[in-house]
Amino acid sequence: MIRTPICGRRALHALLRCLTPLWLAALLVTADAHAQFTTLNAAATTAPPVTLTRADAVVSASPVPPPDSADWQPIALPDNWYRSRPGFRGTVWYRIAFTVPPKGLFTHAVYLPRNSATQMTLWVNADRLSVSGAYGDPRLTELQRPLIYTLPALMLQPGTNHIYVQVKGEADFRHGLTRITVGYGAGVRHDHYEPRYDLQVTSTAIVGSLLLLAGVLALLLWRADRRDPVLFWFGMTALASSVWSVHQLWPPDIANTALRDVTLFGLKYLYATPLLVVCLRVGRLRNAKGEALLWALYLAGCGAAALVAGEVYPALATAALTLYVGLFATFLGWLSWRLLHRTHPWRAYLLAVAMGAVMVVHGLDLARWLGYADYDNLLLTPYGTFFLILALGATVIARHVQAVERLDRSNRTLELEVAAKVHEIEQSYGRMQAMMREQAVLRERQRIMGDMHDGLGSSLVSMLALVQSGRVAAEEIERRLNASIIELRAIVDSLEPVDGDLAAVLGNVRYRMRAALEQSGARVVWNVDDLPRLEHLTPQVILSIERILLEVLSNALQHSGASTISFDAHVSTNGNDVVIRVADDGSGFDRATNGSGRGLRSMNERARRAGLSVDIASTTDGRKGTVVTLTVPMRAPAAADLPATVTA
Amino acid sequence: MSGGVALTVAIVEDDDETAKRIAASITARPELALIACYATGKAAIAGISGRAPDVLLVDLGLPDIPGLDVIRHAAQHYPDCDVLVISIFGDEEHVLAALQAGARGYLLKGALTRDIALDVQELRNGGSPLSPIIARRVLARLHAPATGPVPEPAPDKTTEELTAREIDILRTIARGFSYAETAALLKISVQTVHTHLKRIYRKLAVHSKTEAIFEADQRRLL
Repeated sequence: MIRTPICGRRALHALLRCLTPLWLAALLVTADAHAQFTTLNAAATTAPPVTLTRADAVVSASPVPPPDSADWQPIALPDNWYRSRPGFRGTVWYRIAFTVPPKGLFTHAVYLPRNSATQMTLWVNADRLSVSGAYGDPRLTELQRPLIYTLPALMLQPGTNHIYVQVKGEADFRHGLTRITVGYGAGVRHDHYEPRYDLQVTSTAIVGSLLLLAGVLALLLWRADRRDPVLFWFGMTALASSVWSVHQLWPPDIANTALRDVTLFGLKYLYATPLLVVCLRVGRLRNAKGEALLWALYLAGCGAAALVAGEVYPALATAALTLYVGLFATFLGWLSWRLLHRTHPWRAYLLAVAMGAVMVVHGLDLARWLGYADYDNLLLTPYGTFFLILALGATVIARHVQAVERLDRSNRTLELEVAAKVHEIEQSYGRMQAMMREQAVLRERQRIMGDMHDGLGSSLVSMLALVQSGRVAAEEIERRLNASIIELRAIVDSLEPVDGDLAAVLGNVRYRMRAALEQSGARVVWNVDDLPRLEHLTPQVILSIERILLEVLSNALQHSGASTISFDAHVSTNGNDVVIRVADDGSGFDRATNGSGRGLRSMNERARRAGLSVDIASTTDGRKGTVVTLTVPMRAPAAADLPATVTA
Repeated sequence: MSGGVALTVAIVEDDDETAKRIAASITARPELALIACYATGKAAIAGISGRAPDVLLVDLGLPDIPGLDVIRHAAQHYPDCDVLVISIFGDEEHVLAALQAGARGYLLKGALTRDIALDVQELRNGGSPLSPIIARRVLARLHAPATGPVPEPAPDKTTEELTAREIDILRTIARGFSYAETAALLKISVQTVHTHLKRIYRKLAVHSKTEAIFEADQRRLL
């Protein structure tokens, strides 16, 4: 029952353990291949591209580049409006000059590290080159994709050329203009665009895929064994991070502002809450209230994003980012403090290092957002999260494996304990059985002794008294001794296991009385049916039946002078009893005067105690003689109907 | 002594009192002749090798070797010698073992004097009467019916299996019917009943040979 899931989990563990180094290897290979490629192409380029950092800018809504007579002001690139034009919302034209040598009139390329505006239009000299973010979606600036535009040689002239960039945007959204790199097309592509693309786009895609894989595996693992909720939260975190990474590359294009902001905020911070939850739980800081608070913050953020729809989104983003960085910092501080004060497994240190990386990365991104870091910097958050999730994954899996091993151990211990208990119970059961057997034997012995004492013993004692008195004939003594022997045989016979076969008991009575019957010369009419098995035919009942029948037969032989004795046994018509009928054609007897009245009473008493009933029909005047009917119930009488002869 | 030669009888019994009583019972009958009285099993085996009696009365509890061994020896070596077990009442288990060892019937130690002689006579006439309890046991030993109150292990299906008629006879005897009544009930002659009973005794002995060791062990008879 427990075994199979454990096998499944073990297989998953092994898979996860193998995958972790594979992911790292994949990352390294990608990076290495890229580095080699870059080196190769850099060597082939003779004239390195130029990154332009000086420009002129003018605020103008003109659809075409403003003339040189406009109010151009010199600025340095990158130009982050959040810093240079706080609160600005509108259009700014930039003019960037670059020189093309007379013999360098070949195809050029313009490279921007990322799109940084709601809408950006590029012109070269008097020709429009391209438009970006043309669909009026300000959030397209979230795109971290680098941009590259080809400059055909036809559009260039020897000497000074100008690039005009029209930037539409808002300062609060950190719009502005990055540095611009111009140069020989292939060189720009290989030296600037492709490295940036690999670092920002390809890596994010790889990280996103790996996170997806990790999340799915963790959730599968959790599904196989649901006892570890941390595994579930880890899986959800990885999936959310994966979604977040993807959203960096392909932001959803939603027309409704409120919906769009909720979606963006929701996606962006979806991973952060479960990530913190996992961190807390792995750090043994599970706290229901704290976790609820985190989720409440997240939902409040989503709600706020919907309510403020666009206007305050940047401030909300700042608050959320700052809050999360603050929480991470707090947790990291706590973890570090613990690590410094006690020794912990390697996982704890790994986790601390990964969290440190997250801190650095988030800090850098926050700094960029707040304008303290270079405007053109890469967005680093995906990598930090990735390594943190790797570290968490290692921790969670190790924890899980440990728990499973502990469980296996305790299961084994439990099995041993159960086996020991079973053994103990069996032993005590055996002892109890032996005790019960002993008691049963004791009871049976007591019963037999009682029978012998009451019947045989008293007969012998009274016989002794008779002999001592000297007033008794030898015949009487012989008769009494015979009766005693028969009584003794009846006691011994009653112990013979007949397995409920009443007919055998009756047959035995006849067999024991054989000599007496033959001697009397009475004719025996024997008519015993094949009787059904009686479950309750205990030695006690058998003895009672035998005694009653022996008594009846000796009465018939001794007192009535019967010439025929018929013995009949059959199942009653209603099927409830076996009816044994002993009839003789003797003189019969009168209950009131006959000396055997006492014998009849004891016979009745005996029958009653064994759950039987005796009926005696006798007449003194007719020729019918005596009919004794002994009724034996087919089923054991209810315990209440029986006098308590045996008590447990 | 008019008709023929008296039946020769030997007794193997270590209890002096019992031996004397049985001896007296036998000598009281002119048609029976007591030829020997042995107190040990070995003495008996040695004694009957000289002259086997017609009837050998054997007590099971002998001081030197088990009475069953004497019975077995006599049954194997002197087929004309009928062995009777001297038993105490309630000792049906041992009686059955003795029957299996080859005894033809049994005497009750506590039986009245006249019964002993009667039993010896009956044995010669056609087998000593089976008590209903012994009949039940024989049935149980040789036949495990699908119905009926016989909870004994099933014997193997070999030649010692009882025939339907033999089963009928045993069942009827177990219900207390005499041989004559059994014969009348089954509409056969008394002689046929005796014949069947002899066969049953033989089957019991054959059965016992194949199973003797196991069963004796299981039942702790030896």
